[in-house]
Amino acid sequence: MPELMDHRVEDRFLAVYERYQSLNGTAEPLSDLSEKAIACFAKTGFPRSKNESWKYTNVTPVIKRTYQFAEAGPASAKGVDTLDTPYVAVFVNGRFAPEQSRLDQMPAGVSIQNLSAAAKQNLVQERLGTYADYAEDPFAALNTAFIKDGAVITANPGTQLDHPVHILHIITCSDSTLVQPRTFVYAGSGASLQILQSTEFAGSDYVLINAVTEIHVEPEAQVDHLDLQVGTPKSSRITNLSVYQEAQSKFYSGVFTFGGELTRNNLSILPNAEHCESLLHGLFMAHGRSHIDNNTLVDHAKPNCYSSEYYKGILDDHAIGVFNGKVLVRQDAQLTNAYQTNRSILLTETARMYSKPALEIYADDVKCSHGATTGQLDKDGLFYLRSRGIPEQEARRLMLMSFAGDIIEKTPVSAMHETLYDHVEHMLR
Amino acid sequence: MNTDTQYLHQVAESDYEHGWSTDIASDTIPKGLNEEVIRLISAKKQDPDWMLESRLRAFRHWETLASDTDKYPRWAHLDHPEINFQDISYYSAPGSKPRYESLDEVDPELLQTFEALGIPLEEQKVLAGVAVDAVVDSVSVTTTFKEELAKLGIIFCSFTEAIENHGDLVRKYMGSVVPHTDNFYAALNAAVFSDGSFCYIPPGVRCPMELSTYFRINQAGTGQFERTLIVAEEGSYVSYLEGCTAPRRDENQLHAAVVEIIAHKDAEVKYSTIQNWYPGNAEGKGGVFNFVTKRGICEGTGSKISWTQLETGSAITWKYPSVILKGDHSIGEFYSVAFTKGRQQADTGTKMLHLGRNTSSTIISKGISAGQSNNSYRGLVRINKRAENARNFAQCDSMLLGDRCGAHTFPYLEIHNPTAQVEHEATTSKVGEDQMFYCQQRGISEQDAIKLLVSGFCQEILTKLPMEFAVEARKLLAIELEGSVG
Amino acid sequence: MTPILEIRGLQASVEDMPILKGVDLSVNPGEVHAIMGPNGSGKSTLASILAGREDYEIDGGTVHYRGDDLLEMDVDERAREGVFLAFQYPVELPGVSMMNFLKQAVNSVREHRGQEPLGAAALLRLAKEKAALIELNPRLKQRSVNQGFSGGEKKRNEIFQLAMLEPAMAILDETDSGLDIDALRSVAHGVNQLRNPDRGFLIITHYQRLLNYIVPDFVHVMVDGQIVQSAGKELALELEKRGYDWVYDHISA
Repeated sequence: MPELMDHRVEDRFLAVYERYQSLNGTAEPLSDLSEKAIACFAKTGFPRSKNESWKYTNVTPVIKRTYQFAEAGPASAKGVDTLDTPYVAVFVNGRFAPEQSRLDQMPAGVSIQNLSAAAKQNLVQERLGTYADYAEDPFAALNTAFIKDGAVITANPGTQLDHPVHILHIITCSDSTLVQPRTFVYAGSGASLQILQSTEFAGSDYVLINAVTEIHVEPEAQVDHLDLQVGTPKSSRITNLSVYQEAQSKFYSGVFTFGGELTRNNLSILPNAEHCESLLHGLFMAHGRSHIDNNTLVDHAKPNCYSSEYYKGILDDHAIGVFNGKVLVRQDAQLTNAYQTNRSILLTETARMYSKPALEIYADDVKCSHGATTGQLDKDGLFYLRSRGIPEQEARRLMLMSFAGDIIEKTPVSAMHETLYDHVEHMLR
Repeated sequence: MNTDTQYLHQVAESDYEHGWSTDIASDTIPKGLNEEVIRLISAKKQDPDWMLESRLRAFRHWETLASDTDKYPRWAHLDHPEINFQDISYYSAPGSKPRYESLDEVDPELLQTFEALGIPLEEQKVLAGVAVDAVVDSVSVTTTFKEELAKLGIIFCSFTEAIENHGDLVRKYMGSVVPHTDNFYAALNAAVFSDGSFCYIPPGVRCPMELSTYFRINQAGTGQFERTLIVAEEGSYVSYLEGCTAPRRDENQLHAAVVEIIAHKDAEVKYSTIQNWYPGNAEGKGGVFNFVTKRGICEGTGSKISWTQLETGSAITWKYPSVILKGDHSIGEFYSVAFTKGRQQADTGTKMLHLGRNTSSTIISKGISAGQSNNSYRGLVRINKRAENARNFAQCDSMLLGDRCGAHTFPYLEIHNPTAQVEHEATTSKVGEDQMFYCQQRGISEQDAIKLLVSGFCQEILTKLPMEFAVEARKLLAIELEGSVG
Repeated sequence: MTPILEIRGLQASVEDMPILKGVDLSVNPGEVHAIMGPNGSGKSTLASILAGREDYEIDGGTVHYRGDDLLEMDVDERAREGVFLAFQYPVELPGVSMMNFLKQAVNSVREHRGQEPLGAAALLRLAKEKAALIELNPRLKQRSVNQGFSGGEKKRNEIFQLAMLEPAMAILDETDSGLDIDALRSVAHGVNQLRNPDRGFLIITHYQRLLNYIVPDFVHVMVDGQIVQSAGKELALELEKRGYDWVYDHISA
């Protein structure tokens, strides 16, 4: 059918949306949002290479595939491997799986609910979709258009959670599937909590994960968010993590990406009051034909804030790494301290790294700096280890472990240190 | 407003010091651009057929770009009104009016500016229309030193003369580094360029003097489209200077020059620029739009190309002097000071394209923003697959004077070879309070302390300029900082 | 005789924390005063306030310099009037050459005094002469101000500038800190050369050892923002022997 060839790939998604709406409809409190989002998606369409922020990442091959829109599949019977924590929320193919989740021991003041149930709450009504920019970002729009299940975590003022919350996404579909996880976090004044998100693949076909996470951090609250992204050659992932910070709040983001066909992480942080602290750490390791793109924005709108960004990458085989980091300091944001560093190592002649650390500064009394390096392992270090009798292969492995370990050691989600090292080791094998 | 801010505002809003207009009867063709205009320019230039063909090819390509609004380059951090390319006259040659016989005939205000800049008397004469290859509006008026240079086999002449007398060389090299298909403005230049400079250094020759060209834009509404071509044969060396001032005008003036440099085996070319065109008034009205394509190729093993620039003028600066490091062991350098004030916008930087083995490049960029200006560094470092052991170091520092300006850094690092070592560092800050206090505690006034510290900030670059140029550069910077305080 | 410097009941604080709690001190022409005291006693704050650093709130008291209200003057005005601070941590000025810096400073001061500005040659001559006095490595004059200088070179450079600017009141803020014995000796030698009947010195130090080389006329002990004891040079030796605890005991007693 020649006319189908001319159809924009976006039209397929729009058609699915209509069918989906006529079949299920979106639950009442979310339907407005969903309609606004699909209208935005129809307008913006998927990013093309002309778009500066997508300069080095071509999503067309991934979005051109035909995907099933995931529905709750059979929950995997086998025990799932979760973090050693009493708080686990499990989503199977994007749908909440209460029987596999462990939420009964949640302390008073902290709650984890499924979005479709929590959507009626004022807090969620007012804020959901206000941080993830679905008007500009087509992937955020697509996720928002099909919004249904998701994790809603709220912490009342002053509550301190003793263990991290683990949001585990399990994907079991056997056909190629689009899964769109959604997470909303609200930390009340002075609250502190840690969140881990991770994915397990049980299926065998192509998967495209299009995740959106929104985090609101009230004054003096602290949220640590760790995203563990272990991919397969058939899994691709677009994530949008949008964070809004109030006065004297602290936020840590750790994004650890190991493999996957194509990964694009959009991380956007808006410290919108004074004395905020934002840490953005990332480690990406890729081999085969993996493509990993980290796109970050710290939007300093108010004075006296501190942000520090540190991303490291190791690229093997034909892998491609992209670091696209922007620090924006607006006119009012005097006395901002912002730092940005990207270090990458290429292991082969066919691996590539594109680094674009940008500073855009409109306030004069600031201290901002960035640095980027790309190169090989330190030859002196390698020589030193070998001179102590360590075989070259092992010496290289040790050096790479310590290169990556630098980011791991800095994560405050200490329960994850060992797991992260295991993944690094696995990637280096 | 405290005194500090007051002074900064004064600096930021001071008017352009060097605006003047020389009323030379010009031979100007009507506004607009079409194939007929190209043929007319070509006829006026008495181009050989191949040159006309080349212009037409470029024009046809430009038309395809101009007809599609998506093809206009908009990626820079610049905000300017749409340019109506049909509202510009593309050719202007000085009329028959004779050149000045002595400095007495020159506008005294102009001479005063020269004095303020500390330009030596000889050079003032040159600027006012004697000797050297002075380009007044698009046509080369004079060329001197030629004979002395000719003894060494060096060719230094206007582009027009080069087309006439050294057609083979021009045909061989023109467009080889910046083809007309390179970008919108390169296409435009290749179609309409009226003149420029040509420089050829034969094998093994070290050019004994700095070769300089002074550009000026004079005719209201006339675009300035120079072309410069420098060829350095094996083992040769040349240092080339380009300096500019421009008259005060209310209309925007478009400038789209192309500079190409070819450095063969073991050759070295040092290209220095002071750019000080009219930046527009305090509201940002008028001022030159400067869209320049400058690129050199290190063709041979061990060759070296070095760009040094002091950019203080123009309303819009869009300029990325670049080096293609093709020869093994070749070296590329980019040293830049960009100062913006008022409502100036500069988006400038470099591209270092590493193709050969053991190539190295250095980028040092200092941006100073004042007033309501925006100053961006944009630089690309690409290490190609076969560029074994490539090295790059980039340091980009920005300084902000006042709280209404912007300083931006957009590096692009594209690494395709694992043996590359690429390092980029950037900082943004204001003049250090401790440094100010230290200077003032020694009796130095606030204004002088700012000047002292800002010129210190740029020192590393200014010392890269040839001696006489460096003196002028320092003065210019001081004048720019001082504003109307004079 | 009008004192060069007269401090009366000076109180100052930073972010609502009182640092100086009523300091009284008079320095007459030709006198060398030393202020000693434990860390955090307010010695360096006093030096900073006299030089005009704006990080402090003046809560009370007066400072007169040759009869004029010093606190009313701007930083550079004080300097041109002849108040010189040798910094505890001299600031690096990247890209600003020593000679260019000196030219600006010396000529600013000269202009203020109604003297002709010095030309390059005269300035070079003067710098050479003064550098010899201070035993400053002449190569340093070709570098950027304080950049890449060792700790000792930085301190020596401060005294060199003192010699160049010829102030009426010289304040040395812990000039001895971080110096080895040779550097200490030559810095002290420089200062001694610069003592004269018209010039006052205020030497702030933690240790007594500097005072072995620069013998003060008066020694003051500062504790918790106040001068708690004043005497002749023998007080420094007493302190060295007994330590600051002795002063605390002394006060509480």
